[in-house]
Amino acid sequence: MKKLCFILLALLPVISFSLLSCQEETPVQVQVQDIIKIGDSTGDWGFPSPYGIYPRGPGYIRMSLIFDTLVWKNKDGDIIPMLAESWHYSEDKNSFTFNLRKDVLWHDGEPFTARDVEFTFEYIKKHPWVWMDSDPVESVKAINDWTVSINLSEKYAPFLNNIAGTLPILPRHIWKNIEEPLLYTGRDALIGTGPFILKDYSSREGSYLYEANKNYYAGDVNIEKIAFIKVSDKAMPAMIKSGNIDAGSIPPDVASDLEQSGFEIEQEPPTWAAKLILNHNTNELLSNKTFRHALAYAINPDQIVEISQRGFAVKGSAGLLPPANSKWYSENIPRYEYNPKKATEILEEMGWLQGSDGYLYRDGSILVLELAVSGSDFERDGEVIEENLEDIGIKIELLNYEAKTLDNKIKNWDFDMAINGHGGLGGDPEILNKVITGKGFNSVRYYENEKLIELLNQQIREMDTGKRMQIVYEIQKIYAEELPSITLYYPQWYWAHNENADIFYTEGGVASGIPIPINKIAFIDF
Amino acid sequence: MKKRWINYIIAFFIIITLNFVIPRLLPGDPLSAIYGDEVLLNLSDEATDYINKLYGLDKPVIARYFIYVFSIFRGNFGYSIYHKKPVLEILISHLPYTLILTGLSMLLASISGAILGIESGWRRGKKIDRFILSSIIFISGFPAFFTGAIFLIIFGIILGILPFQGAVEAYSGFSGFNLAVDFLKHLVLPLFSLVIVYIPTAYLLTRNSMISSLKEPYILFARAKGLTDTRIRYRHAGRNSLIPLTTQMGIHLATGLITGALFIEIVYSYPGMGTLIYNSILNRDYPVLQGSLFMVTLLVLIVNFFMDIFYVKLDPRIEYAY
Repeated sequence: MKKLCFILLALLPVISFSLLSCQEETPVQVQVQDIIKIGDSTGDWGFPSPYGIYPRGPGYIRMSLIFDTLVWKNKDGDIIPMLAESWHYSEDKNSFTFNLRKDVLWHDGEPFTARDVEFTFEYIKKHPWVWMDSDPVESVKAINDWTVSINLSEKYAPFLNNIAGTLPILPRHIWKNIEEPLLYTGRDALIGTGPFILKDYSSREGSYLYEANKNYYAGDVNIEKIAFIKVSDKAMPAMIKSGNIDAGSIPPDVASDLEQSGFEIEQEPPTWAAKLILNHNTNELLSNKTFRHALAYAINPDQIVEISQRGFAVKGSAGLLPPANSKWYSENIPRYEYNPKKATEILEEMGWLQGSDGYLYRDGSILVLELAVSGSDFERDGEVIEENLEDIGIKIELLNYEAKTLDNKIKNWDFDMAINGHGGLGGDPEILNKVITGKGFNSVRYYENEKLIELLNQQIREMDTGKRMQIVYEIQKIYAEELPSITLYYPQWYWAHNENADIFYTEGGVASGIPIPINKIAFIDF
Repeated sequence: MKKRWINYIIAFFIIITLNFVIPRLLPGDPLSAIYGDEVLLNLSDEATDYINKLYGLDKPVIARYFIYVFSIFRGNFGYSIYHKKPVLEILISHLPYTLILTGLSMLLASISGAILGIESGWRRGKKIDRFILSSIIFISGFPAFFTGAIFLIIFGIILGILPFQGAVEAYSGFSGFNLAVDFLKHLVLPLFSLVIVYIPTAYLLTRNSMISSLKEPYILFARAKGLTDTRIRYRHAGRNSLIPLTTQMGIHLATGLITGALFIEIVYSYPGMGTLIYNSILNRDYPVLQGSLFMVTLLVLIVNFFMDIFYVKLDPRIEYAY
């Protein structure tokens, strides 16, 4: 019996190996020299169709290689023609008219027309496409084969950026029969007009292989193949050095080392905000604006940047928009320079007096706040804040939660203070509406100041950029004054690459603002 | 025998219920776990409703539980929210990697652990025994992921002699023999990290039972017959010392799928069950979690069942206990 057991055990690897080789499809043959390989620590971002990708930035990038939009952004963030050759906005009709290119073919050889554009907008009304809210679009009409007009329900300033430059156009002849786009993973689901065609995708290995579209309309695709390969964060620098991959994101600490070894470093304009979220809704103390000001004076952001972020971050702006978003950022806002004395004074006025143990007391009860964080990075920030606040006598209980658990606690207002963050601040300022009055956990959900809400509604309706800027400046001023959350810092992120991989960050992010240095126009010779 | 069957059925139901309940006790929901900022900020109410309805997340929990139980009996493990594929398909594509990894490492660990244990037990109290014993106890203090990380840093990064990412080099253009070599190269580091994790159990069990076997009268008799040391060590004492090891390995084979292999697979980005379970927890992908936990449960029950039969054969006294 023992023998049998051993034999079974010995056979196990053999059996499973043969099982494995049965499913292994014939490996895709690749000439190594004409391919660029990009490392990614997650690997699998889903089936790269507009509905199949996982709804996160890297997923969008993988889809954007296959599907084109009406317009796109170049390196400087200017809107450039893509499927549309030209366009104009008619103020009195509140509609955009796009003149489409006449030489565009779908990957299967069918011609692309205005009917496809019309269809795509109709389709996303019926089957919500999570990357954009289709509400601002009232109706879409193909005037002839190559002209399409899009009527807006209300004035909507971010239209070119967030809709025309984000929505991938679907081939009508394929998608018209698809009832459940989220579950549609047939080969035809990957027919687009873009510069690349998907050759292989493995969700298990987390790898993607794309091949150049030889018939691309806008120009020659200057690279034969692009691959995305799963590489863990820790291994990324070693894999870049050894040439196993051509590009990948790296921890900031190794950037200078890689640069000295002859690799190129791309630094992302820091537009991701780490915030100290304050429960201004259900916590009585934190719902008081003056108390929030005291906290802001008591926290030393330089110390957070220098110590816990090791210098790889930019100090937060109280108005939320980062200095890196030079177009919309305003300098003329209230500032809260580190001043613990002032914080103590404010708290004293509110009746908080120091007890014999150094903590603040009012009517016999101690001033204590919970600070919730997730992960080791935010924990370090939390420790600095804990030290700062304990210095002026606020007792802090620092708690570390698993990331999704913390998101959920924030969503349900089940916290006092928490450190959390979000991106999207480098692009169109419509993001301010979403992170101030939006309903999700990464919005501060602040509705106390009516003027603020009114200005937010105004700014997305203002089609004149100059006037809109003034409104956005005013919003930042009020936000900084109200201080529903304290912006701590904007971390700096880096990618390293060799000369094979021509990558760059797009000003304001790719499409609706994705801060990843892979813009498909880098691979096209116009 | 009948009573034993009833026990198995009860255990099975309790386990599938726990598999359903436990993932749902995690705070958060699949939608906010899978979707990124870029999208969550845009998500309209109707889009949320649409997605929840599509994945059946809008139904009451009790209804979902009954759908789950009935589906299991029809062999349907549901549809992954994250991978957008049938769960069974996902499980089948990840399982072989873990079977190879745990199966092979268990085999190597048992053989080397048993040999070390026999030799060490034979030389009980001598210098070499003390050396092996203390070094193995030292090693056994390392958690799996630690051993894995150390191996990765030394052999993968510093020496750079072995690959340490995934199961094969992606898009290397390898095929046939070269592909197999590539696969084996990728297997080396995770495999030996796991062997290190399993060796202490095998070694300690064998050594202890070796020591007690050596006290048995039949050893004295064997010596009296004038048998050689090697023969006594392996044929007489050694063989009898393997019984507890066999039992232990069976249990390990099933639980090892989750515990040991999980950490090692994550460290080496190895595409097995461990990585799958880990990612499913992060993404709150309930169907995949249920499916993979179910598969592990099933393995544990099957192994237990065979163990029950083996025991009776190995030691007839157990039969009377029922």
